[in-house]
Amino acid sequence: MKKVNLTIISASLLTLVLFFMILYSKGFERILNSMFSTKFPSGSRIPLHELFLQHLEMVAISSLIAIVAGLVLGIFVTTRYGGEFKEPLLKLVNFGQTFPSAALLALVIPIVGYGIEGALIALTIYSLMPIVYNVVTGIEEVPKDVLEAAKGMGMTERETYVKVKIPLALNAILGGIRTAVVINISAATLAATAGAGGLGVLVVNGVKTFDMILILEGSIPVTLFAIIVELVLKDMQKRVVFTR
Amino acid sequence: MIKLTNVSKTYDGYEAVKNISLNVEKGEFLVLLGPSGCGKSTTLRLINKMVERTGGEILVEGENIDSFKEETLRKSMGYVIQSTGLFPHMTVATNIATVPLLLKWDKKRIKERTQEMLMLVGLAPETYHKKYPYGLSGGEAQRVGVARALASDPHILLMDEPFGAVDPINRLRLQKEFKEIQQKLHKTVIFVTHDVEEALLLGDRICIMRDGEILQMDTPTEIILNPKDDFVRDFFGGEGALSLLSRFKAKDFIEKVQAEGKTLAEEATLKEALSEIVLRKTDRVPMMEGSISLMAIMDAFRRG
Amino acid sequence: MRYVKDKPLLLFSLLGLLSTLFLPLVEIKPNRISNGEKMTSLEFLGPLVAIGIILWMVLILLSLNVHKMKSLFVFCTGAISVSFLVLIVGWQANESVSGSPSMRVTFSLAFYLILLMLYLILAGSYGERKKDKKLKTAVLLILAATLILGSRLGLFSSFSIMKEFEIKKSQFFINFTTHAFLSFGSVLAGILIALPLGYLSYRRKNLENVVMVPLSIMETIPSLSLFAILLVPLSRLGKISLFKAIGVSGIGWAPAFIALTIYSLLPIGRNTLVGFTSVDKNITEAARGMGMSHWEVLWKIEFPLALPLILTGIRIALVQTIGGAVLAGLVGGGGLGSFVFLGLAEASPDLVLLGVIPIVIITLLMDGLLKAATKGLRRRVA
Repeated sequence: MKKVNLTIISASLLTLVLFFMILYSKGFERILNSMFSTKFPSGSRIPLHELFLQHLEMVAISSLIAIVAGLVLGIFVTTRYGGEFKEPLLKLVNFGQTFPSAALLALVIPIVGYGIEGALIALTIYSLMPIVYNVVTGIEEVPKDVLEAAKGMGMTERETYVKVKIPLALNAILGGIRTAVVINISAATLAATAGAGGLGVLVVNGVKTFDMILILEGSIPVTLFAIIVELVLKDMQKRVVFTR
Repeated sequence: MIKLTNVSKTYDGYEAVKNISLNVEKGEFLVLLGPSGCGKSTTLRLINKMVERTGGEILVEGENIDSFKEETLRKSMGYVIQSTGLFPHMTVATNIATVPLLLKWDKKRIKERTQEMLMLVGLAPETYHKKYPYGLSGGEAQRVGVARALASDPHILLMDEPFGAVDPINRLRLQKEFKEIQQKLHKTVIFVTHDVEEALLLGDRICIMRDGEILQMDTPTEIILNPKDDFVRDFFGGEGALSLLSRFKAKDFIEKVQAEGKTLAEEATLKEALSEIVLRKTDRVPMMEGSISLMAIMDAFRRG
Repeated sequence: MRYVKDKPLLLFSLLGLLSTLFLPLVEIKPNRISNGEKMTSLEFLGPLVAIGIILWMVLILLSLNVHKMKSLFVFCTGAISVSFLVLIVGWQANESVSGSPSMRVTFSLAFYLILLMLYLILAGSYGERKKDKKLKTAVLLILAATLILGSRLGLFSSFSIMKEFEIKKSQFFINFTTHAFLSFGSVLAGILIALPLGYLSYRRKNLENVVMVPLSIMETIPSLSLFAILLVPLSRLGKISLFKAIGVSGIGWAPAFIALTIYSLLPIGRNTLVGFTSVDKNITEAARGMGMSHWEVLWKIEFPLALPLILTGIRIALVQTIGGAVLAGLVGGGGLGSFVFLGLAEASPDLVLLGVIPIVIITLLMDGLLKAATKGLRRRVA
């Protein structure tokens, strides 16, 4: 009997729900309409799928850049040559994490101007930090005797990284990516205040007009999106756990 | 084969290895024996440059180890450590194939070699090659560790207390099996341990170390019968002579005299024979076509 | 490169030096709204720049060798550089805008970069060599005192941040208090709820998923959404006199407070669970064997031993809420976030900084304090 993977099933179901919610957004609004009173029975002015794609685009681009940069920085800082930079990098990351996402956004916008570029920069910086931290921790927690054996067998530093350190750190790295993407999705809702679009537009407008429908129409897809990513990445993480 | 000349290693003022010199012949099984902190592990790791020496010269097969790139040197030697250091994310087969893969052997050769190694260490290939390290017992993991070290067919094998973390029953089994493997393969082995019994069972020569220096380096028989100083004598304890008996196979001392009682196993050591003699309260136990007597055992000592 | 003993120090010092030489240090604005004239350090400070350059050279030289007292020297040089930067720029700013009350001086890229580099250099050298730590702490305190003195003397009054502060002073204190109430208050509420929940999950295995899963789900809801979702129900609730009396309504502190409390539940609850689970069963076994009751075991053994992890959870929650309370500014909850979003809407970085800097300082402070407290506890317990 095949083992049933609950996580993948729930994630797939949720994705389906999300998919339909976006495709048939008018219907979705009608359902919400019947549950709550609203001043705007016509619902969102901009089609839901357009906002969702904007949101997705922001998250995808900033996450990708953050992942690549995070991996490069994190790995560099654990090599023999880059080791001296580990403490400063971690201190910088720690300092950066004290900035709430809204603050980062609000500091970048005046320099870059309103629009999606500023949001992308802020989101990339914001997602960078958990990734760097987890890459460094993950690599450092590789059991020392495994590294001793690898060295003793004659692996070069590069071979050790590719064959041993990174595969064994993968669990932690994916965990960092998971955290980063989920908080990215959440922070991207704020990008609406910077004129970058995304599902946050609905939430912000809903707050301004006290309209529960708009708020929910913006919040539910974002939450579903975050949960799906969390579930999928968590499952991937489970598959790369090798040490008891 | 391996020659250390005036080799020393100092850590920030602490002399771990003080000016030692030794010579290991090809095919020899040398045991580095001594109490914790005597420098035996450090000495071992100087040979494959896991530790950089501070003085002296080390030659391997006639060449100075400094003339090789570290990684090349290490790929030419097998290295087995106490905690095995098996890669948890790779199957047993991939673990064993590590160095052949690094050396870019072709797939077919690697597959055959892996099977060969598993059989050599007594693990059924079909069952074990797909297993992961977390599913192995301590003894099985060590066997894989040995198989992995031998996979690329190195001439030299460096072993640092490999059986130390295994339970006593399995440890004895592993030691005996490894001795047989060595007799088949004739590798040059440098073996570190603090276990006297293990040293006496396995070593062609034993090198006793203390505080970074070599006290005596001789065959087991010589060391026990002619210890150079009190420390050496006390290290083997009062039972040293008895432990020596485990090196000898009983079947080499059979006399053509019949005896009563259950016969000894074919592979029994003289120590086991003596044990039986004591238990049965006789002076002769049957073995194969003849028997072993107490006198024969005493003779073995006299002959050396 | 082998001669460079301290590569990070060299890198940071070089970046600092380059910023000082080439990047704009400040911008002199005629008033709050219009853009102003950007000036590099050389243009703004004139010959005084030489002192700054010398300080960077000292740091660069220090990075090239190893000396027993090196990290102390680096720390002192860094502290001197910080005071030099801030005080001299302040003094020069006063000179530049003298006479015109609406003129102000805003920091530019070089200023921020230099401060960042100095922060990294100071943070790095602070941690080295435990022996000199007391001296370094003393230097740090002197630095702080110098800055406070400078501010008292009015040296910072021409900075645009200070001008904003002066204008919005009373509002600042109101916002600050609200923000503190929101963040610390919600963590307190979170502790009151999540601590017992975490303990109960530890005692009854089947509760673990019932408690942790909903909390995890709540954590994935974007903060803004959680704030927003609470708005309408709370405004309805606020119409009921009982709740109206304590100020519950759709706007105001309630949605932010409740949302922040919910967010703090997961870190506190999960760490409580893990904390208690990490207590060695043998110890509790021995304690019960000695005749201690469940309560005594809890108070005397389990809780003290679980405390480091619980404190870590509280620390995480607090850092989270101090930052998260910023969003209250969007939903009418007040707090320092009001400055942030107002500044964002007006494209005024100074207003944003007025909101952000206190947040960063308080976060760093609380993070550091709680980390130290946790470390101290661990040493006594472990």
